[in-house]
Amino acid sequence: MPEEITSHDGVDFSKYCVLESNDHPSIQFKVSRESAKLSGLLKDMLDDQEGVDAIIPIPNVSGRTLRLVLEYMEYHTNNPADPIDKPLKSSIESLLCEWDNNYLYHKLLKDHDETQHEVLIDVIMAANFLNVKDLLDLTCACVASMIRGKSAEEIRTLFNIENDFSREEAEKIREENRWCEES
Amino acid sequence: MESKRRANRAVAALTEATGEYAFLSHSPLIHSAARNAPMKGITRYASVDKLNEAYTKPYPFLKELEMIESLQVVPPPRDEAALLGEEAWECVIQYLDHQSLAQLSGCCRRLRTLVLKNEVLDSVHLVPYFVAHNTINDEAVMQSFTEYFDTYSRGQRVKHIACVNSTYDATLPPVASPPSGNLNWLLQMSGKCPLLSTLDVRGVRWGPSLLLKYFLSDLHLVAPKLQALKIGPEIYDHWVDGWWSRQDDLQLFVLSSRRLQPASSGSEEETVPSATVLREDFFTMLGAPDRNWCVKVWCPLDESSLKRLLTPTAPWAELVELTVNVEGHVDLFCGQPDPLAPEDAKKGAKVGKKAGGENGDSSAAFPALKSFTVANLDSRPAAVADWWRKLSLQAPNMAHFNVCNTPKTPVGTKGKSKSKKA
Repeated sequence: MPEEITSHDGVDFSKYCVLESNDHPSIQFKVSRESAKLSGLLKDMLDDQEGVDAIIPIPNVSGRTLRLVLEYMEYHTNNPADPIDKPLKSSIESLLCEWDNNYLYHKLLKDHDETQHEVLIDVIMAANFLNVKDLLDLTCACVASMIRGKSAEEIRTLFNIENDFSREEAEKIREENRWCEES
Repeated sequence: MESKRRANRAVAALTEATGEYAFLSHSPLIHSAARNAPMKGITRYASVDKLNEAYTKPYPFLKELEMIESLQVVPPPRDEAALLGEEAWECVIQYLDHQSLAQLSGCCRRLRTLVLKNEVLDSVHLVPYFVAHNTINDEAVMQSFTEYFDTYSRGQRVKHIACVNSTYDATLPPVASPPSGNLNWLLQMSGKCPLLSTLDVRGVRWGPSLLLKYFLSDLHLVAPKLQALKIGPEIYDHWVDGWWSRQDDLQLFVLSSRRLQPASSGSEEETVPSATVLREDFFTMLGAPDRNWCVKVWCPLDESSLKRLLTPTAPWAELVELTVNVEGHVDLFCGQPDPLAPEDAKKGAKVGKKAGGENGDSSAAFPALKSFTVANLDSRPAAVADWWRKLSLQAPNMAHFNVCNTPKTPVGTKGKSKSKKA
């Protein structure tokens, strides 16, 4: 679990860095430099600030989301995630290790319920911002797994997507996609 | 000294004027009224940020707020498609199959644009990635499929069309009969793909017969840039002389499939597939100049065709890769007089290479051949040596000699394949 701190006293900045969330007041996490470097963005910043007390504000990410992202980064520092085949040929659950399954279906999707995916979307945005490739792949593959086998209407309902097609456009698209509906 | 005295006099005068309220202070900011007020310690902060940090108080109900949020069963509605950036959606799109992408593109304009931009359509394997095995004969489905490739220039990105994915085909039970399909929509769809370079029409029973008759002759009209064509025996039966000469870029020709053979039950009454006779024009094609031919013939051949292919009167100067099925003719090269003893075969190959050099031997039948695959030698493993010896002499530049079986095997028991590097 990422360590939450209230003071920088005693932080060994040669091994650790401090990340600040965008909450008010900000939540600060002590993270090992090795774990932080799983993020492309943080790696570049830490490489530039070698030898300096690295206290890095993360402006787009809340404390709750940052904690989840750091948890993933800490676990996978020495356990690189296996790549997920593209495109998915089955549900993603069967492709993941136990830790990733638990992380995805209990922490990001509340109680394995794909309609409660608010946290998942927040983590995708954070992983994208921080450039944590493996986490972005995992979470995007999870979204893809949720989309598989659903009709356009079901996808819209699941992700609260507004249908902005005109009636003529919708009719044209339905005709164009008839092959996949009938097969 | 004079100035100090003056200063003392000034202080004395001030004290006399203000009475008991006057007192001396280091700071002019401390008013005399504050004299009786309780004095607090003054803290000096290193920076404004530290001052802010000290005076910012945490939200007292943060834990309660988080608890309420965790109890919220119905999530507050928010448009997730709008929230996620393009890069995230591009990553999601990579994990989706074509059917899911078609559905996703029907959700909203933004997603439609993203799907059209990012869908990978270089290689289209109709069954099973686009349509199911049993719907390839559905006219309505295939018509809609052709329209799908016509719109938004999707067809312009397609370079490879395979009717049935070979990996999927290998998983089907040996007795499964291929689905029937109409060549009309295949030609229509090929016409929507101007950059089409590979067309694999195996794994489907094609009709109607009228179109079958003109398929090869008219193929250049819809696929003029074809580099590889893979057909089944059904289309080969309607071979039209010279069709290949109109396909300027064609280099790979595959007849039948390694996995299309009937299953081997092991019984003696097993149906032996009829041997294919190679046409005269097929040999003309092999001898055509300026083509680096790769030819794979997976169906069993009759003896005269096989002999003509392997022991030509004139060398196949442009043939780079050859695959033949020798089912029923394993002994073709066995027992023939051989200038070299079996133990000297390798040495012989080296001698042949040396004699032929990089440009090939003019006396060799396959001066440019780099890879040779012989199928169905497994019934006579000893014959492999005879074939190897023969080919190593006739093909001085051969780098790969492969042996494999063609019959489709039940799932879980894969056919053997061996390869030897020359």
